[in-house]
Amino acid sequence: MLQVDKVSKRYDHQWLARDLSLTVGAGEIMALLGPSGCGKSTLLKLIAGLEPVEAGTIRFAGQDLARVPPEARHFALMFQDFALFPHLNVLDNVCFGLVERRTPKATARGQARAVLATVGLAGYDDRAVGALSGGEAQRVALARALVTAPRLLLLDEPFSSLDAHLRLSLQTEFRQRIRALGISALLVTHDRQEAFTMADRVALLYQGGIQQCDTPSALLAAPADPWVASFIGFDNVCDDWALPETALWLDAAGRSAHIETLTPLAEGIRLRLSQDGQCYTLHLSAREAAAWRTQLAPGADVGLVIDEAARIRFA
Amino acid sequence: MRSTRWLALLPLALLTALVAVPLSRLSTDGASALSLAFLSDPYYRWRLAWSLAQALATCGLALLFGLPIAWTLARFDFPGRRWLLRLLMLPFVMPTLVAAMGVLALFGPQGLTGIHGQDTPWLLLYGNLFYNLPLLVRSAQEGFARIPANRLMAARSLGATPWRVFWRVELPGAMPWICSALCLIFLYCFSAFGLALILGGQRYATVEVEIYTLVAYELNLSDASALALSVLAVASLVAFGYAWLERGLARPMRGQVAQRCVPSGWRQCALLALAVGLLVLLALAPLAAIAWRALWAGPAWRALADPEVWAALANTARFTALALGGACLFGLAHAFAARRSVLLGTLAFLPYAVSPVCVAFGLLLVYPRLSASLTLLIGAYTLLAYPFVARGMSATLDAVPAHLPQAARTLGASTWRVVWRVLLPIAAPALRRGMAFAAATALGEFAVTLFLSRPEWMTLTTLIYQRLGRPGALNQDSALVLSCLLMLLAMVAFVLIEWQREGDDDVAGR
Repeated sequence: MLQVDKVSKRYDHQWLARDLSLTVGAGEIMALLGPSGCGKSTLLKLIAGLEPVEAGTIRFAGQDLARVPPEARHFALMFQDFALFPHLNVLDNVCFGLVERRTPKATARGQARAVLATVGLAGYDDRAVGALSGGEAQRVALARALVTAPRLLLLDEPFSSLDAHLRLSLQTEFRQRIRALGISALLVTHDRQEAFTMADRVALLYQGGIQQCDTPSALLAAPADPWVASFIGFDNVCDDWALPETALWLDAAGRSAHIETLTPLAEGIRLRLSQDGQCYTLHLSAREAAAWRTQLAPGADVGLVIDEAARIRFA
Repeated sequence: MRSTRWLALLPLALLTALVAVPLSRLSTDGASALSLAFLSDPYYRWRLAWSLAQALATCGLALLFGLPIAWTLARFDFPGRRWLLRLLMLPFVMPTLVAAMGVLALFGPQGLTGIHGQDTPWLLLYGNLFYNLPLLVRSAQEGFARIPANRLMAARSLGATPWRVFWRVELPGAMPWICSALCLIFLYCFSAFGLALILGGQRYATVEVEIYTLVAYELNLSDASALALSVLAVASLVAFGYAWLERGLARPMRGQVAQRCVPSGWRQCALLALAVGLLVLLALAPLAAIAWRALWAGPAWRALADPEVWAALANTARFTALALGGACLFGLAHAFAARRSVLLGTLAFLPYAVSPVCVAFGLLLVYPRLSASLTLLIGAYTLLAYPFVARGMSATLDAVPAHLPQAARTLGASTWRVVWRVLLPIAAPALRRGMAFAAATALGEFAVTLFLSRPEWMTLTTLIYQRLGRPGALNQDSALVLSCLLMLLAMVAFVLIEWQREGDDDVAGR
C-alpha cells in the first residue's frame, strides 16, 4: 500500500532521512522505532504531505503522492499532543474531517457519535476539549482520525504523554481497534515496548536510514548490527556479537566470574561481571536474587555459564 | 504557511506610501535644514529637552507609582480585583482630547479641585500618567503574576525575606514586561500631541506641538522638518528596543503560578488601600471629573441640538467605519503574512513608533495635491488603526500550535478551509478586541485630522478643540459636554473589548 522510496530530507544540514525506503502493507501496523530527535516525526509529516520531500517518491496504492496536497491524501495523522481544536467541543472535533469531506451535518454527527461510543466516550459530545483527561483526549483524537475512514493512519508517539499504567491498557485497545477496522497504520515511537506491543513489523530508524525492518520476534532473534541489538534491549553487545538474555546464567558449575558491581532494582538486581577480560551484564529476578543472595557481593566470584550456541554473530 | 507571505504586499504598500515615502522626504528636507544654527537656537533646544524630560519623568513616575500597584494586584486577592483590572483598560481607549479635558476639569482655571495648574509642567505630567500608569500596571502585573510559585518558595527557603524576594526574584522576573511598558510609555509621551497641545500651554508644549505650530501657523517648513527628523531618530531607536523586548515576551514560563492571597494584617491592608487609592486618583479621576462637570453644565447640553454637532458626529462615524474596514483588511493581511516572521512582526510596530504629527506633515509634503482628499485621510486613519488588529491577531496566530492546522490538513481541509475553520475561530476574540481598539483610535483621532482635514470634515475631536479655542464660558462648557459624549462613545469600545475578556481568561487558565 504505502511505498516510501529513497526519500531524503535535511534540516540544517542534518539528514533526517537519507535514501530512506519503507513499505507498509494493507492492513499492516508498522512501527518506526528510533531514538528521540532522529527525524521520525518528520518522516510522518513527509508521508502526510505536511512537509515537502527533497528527493525520492512516496506512493500509495501505486499513486505518486508528490502533487497530492495533505487534505486529498485521505491519511489521518494523530499528533503527540493530540492537536484537538480548542474552539470546538468533542463532537465537533470528531466531525471536523467529515464536514471537510462534505458529509451532511446530521449524518456526520451520527457517525461521530457512533465512533465516540466505540472508543468509550458516549455522552461526551458537548464537553470542552480543554476539560478532558489525557486518556480521554487520546480517545477523541483517535475517534477523530478513525471516523473519516482514512486509507492510512499515522500515529506520532501517541502514548508518550500518558502515564505508564494507562499507556499499557490503551496500547492493547488501540491495536485491537485498528486491527478490527483493517486500516494500515504507521506508528512512530521511541519506546521499544510500545513498538513491540502494537506493531506487526518494526523498522529501526537511525541517522536518517532504516537499519533493520522485521517482525518483533525476528528482530529479537537476529538483530542486524550492534546498534539495533542494544536499542531493542540487548544488555551484552559487542562489535561483532550479541548475547540474548537467555544465553547466560549463574551456575556454581560454570567458570568463575568476578562481580564488579551489584545494583538493586525494583524487580531484582543487576550484576556487572567480568570473565576472561570481558564484561557482562546480567539481570536477576527477585526470586533468583534471593536464591543466590549469600554468594553475591561486589568483589566476590561466582560461576557464570554462557551458552555459545545462542550467541548472535553480526554479518 | 510560506504561501501566505504574498499577503504582506498589501500592508507593505500602505506602509511604503504612508510612512516610508513621507518620512524619507522629511528626512531629506530635514537633513538639509539641520544645521548647527538650528541646534544652537535655545528655543528649539528647550523644546527638545523638555520633550525628552517630560517623557523620562513620566516613565520615572509611572515606575514609582506603578510597581507597588502592580505587585499588589498580582499578589493579593480582594473583591473587585477583576473589575479594577478591567477599568485599567479604560484610559487606553480614551481619546487624548477627553483626557486633556478631564485634567482641565480637575486642575484647570475653573477646576473642581480649585488648584490652578495651568502654565505649570504638572498638568502635562498628570495627563501623561493618566494614560500611561495603567499601561505599566497592567504589564508589570502580568509579569509578576507569571513568575512560578516554586521560584518564590525556593527563594524564601534559601533565606530571602519577602522584600529581598521582590528585589532578587520578582523584579528581575518581571523586568522584560516592565521594560517593554517603559519603552511604550516613553514613545507615547515623547510624541504626545493632543495632551501637550492643550495642557502644555506656551512653555511646556512638546516638539510635536511645535512642529504643528510651525507648519500650520508660521509656514516654516524647514525648521519643522529638522524638528521632525530629530523626533523620528529618538522614537525609532526606542521603538526598535520595544519590538525586540516584545519578541522575548512570547517565551512561556513553566510552572504553576503563585496563588493570590487575601491580604492580612494592617500592613498588607494599608498597601492595598494605597494602591487602589492611587490608581483611582491617577487613572479614573479625570473621567469622573468630566462626567461630574458635564452633569452640571445645564444650558451647554443644548449644544447637542446644533447641526454642527450632528455633522461632526456623522463624520466621526463615517471615518471610523471606513478606518475599521481598512484596519481589518490590512491587519488580517499583515497578521497572516507575518506568522513567525520577526521582520514583518516588527514592521507592525512602525505606525506606533512614528508620531501622527510627523506622518501627517510628511504626507502634506509628499502629496500636496491630496492634502484635503478623503483617500489620504482614511489612509492615515487606517495606518494608525490597523496595527491593533495586526498585532493582536499575529500574537494569537503565533500561539496556535503548528499541529492544529496540520491536523486539519490531514483531516481534509484545504489551506483556506484551515483559515476559515481553525485559525479565524481561534483568533476571533483577538480580532474583535483589535477591532475595538482600532475603532477607539479612529474615534479619538486628532492630530492627523487637524492636519489633513477640510473644514466640512469636522469630527467630534476637532470640534471640541475648536470650541475650546472660542471665548466664553458657554463654549467651554459645550466642549466639556462634547467630551463627555466622546467619552461615552469610547466606553462602548471599552465594553466591547472587556466584555469578552472573561471567556479568554478561562481559555488561558486551562
